[in-house]
Amino acid sequence: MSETLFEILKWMKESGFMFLALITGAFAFRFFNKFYKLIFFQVVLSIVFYIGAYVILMYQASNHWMYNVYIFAEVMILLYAAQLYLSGSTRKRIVLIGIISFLSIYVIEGVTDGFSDILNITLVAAGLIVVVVYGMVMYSALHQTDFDWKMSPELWLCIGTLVYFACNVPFIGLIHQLLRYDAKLVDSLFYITEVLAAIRYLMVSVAFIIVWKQAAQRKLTL
Amino acid sequence: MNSTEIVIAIVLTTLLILLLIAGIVISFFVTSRQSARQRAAFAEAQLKYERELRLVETEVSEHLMQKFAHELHDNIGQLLACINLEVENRKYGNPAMQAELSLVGTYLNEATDQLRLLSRSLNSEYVSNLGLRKAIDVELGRQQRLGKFSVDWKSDDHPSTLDNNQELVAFRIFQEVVHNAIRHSRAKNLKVQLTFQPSFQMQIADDGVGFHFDDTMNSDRASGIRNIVRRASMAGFHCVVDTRPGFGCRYTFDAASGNNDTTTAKATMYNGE
Repeated sequence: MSETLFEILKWMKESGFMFLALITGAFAFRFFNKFYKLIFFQVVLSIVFYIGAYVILMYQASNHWMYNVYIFAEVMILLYAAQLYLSGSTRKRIVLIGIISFLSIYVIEGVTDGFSDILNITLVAAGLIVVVVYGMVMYSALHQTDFDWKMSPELWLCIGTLVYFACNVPFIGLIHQLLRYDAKLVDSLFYITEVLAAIRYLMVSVAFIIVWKQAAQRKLTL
Repeated sequence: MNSTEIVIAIVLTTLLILLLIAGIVISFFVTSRQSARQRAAFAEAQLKYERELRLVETEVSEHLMQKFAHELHDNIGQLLACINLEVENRKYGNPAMQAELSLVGTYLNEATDQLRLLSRSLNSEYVSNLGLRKAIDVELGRQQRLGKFSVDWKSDDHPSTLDNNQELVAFRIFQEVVHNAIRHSRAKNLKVQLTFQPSFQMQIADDGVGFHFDDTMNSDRASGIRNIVRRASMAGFHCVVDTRPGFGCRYTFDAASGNNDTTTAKATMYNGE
């Protein structure tokens, strides 16, 4: 019983910022445009998969296949949200190229190596594509903002996304080699991903709070 | 390569990427600030240009009106005086026609008076010398003599807080509003209030047909209102247009919250008080 409780607490600690993003997003949801609704949907999805991964580990030795499904959904949602956010045909075309490239790499690696192992090349490619696309989102958000930059929700959202996807690349890129070399080392290094995820979802929460605050201020001044 | 070296390598690479991301964010931030500064400078230059343009426009229109006023006073006024003299001569030479000619003489005198008042109201020097309060008083008197509507005119006794240019613009705005009321509103009553303390406020209300502010502003029939709003903004007056169809129209020009381009449209009923 106490072991289960300990597991739940550990799990809450690891996913705490994810839940923070979920709660702030739920409160601010009525003020969200399509872009933020998709980001919120991605947060919900990540929690569902996070819980799912724990449940699957109780019955199976590996949950890597589920991670592959999750990364597909996550990257597609993020890229589609960016496609909605960005204006201008060139930028939209770049996002479209990103989506097509990601899908191609995903399918080729999945078919070649199988979906039961983590598709690390796809993950690295997804990281690079998301970094480029969300770099563009941040650039256009900063260039649209004439008011206080600290109050630009897109800025915080993009910082979190860029940090998570870019900094995960060295670890994820070498995951197969590391698993072969020392599986325990992978568990230790997974701490990096957890810290990055915490930063990411903290930033997402900040973005949601800013959207909420701005909408509330608008309501007061009307 | 042992485990520690692998961990150090991965952590260092991650930190390096983190630094790279920080660099990208900072460079984006710096360029965005630069572009915001450029946009602000451009907007300021645009505003300055607009202001200059409005000033030139006003000067040109004032010059034209002055010229027009002089023409009315010197030429047409003289002609009317000659006609009046001729009528008087005919009256003495033709006693049988005296009654008819007296009526013509009365109308001629009225026309001469109206013309004189009109030429004065168009003359910016006259407005400057007379002051806004007296100029409005004369103009309302002229309008009342035309019998278009009855006027309720109130003003405080405090000295004017406006400079000459602001007074002239306020008077031109007043003329434009009254002109609109005559031409479009079918008003029976006009209410004008002028106060200089605690701050300048001019309120002109009519009980005419009113209009839908947004629809009118989006149509091509809004040149008069646009002109009013533009002049008000140029003189640093805050302008509130309070109207809706069937409920008259009230313009309020306020210098207390001036120096902005804000025009507010509200919809409340003219109560004729």
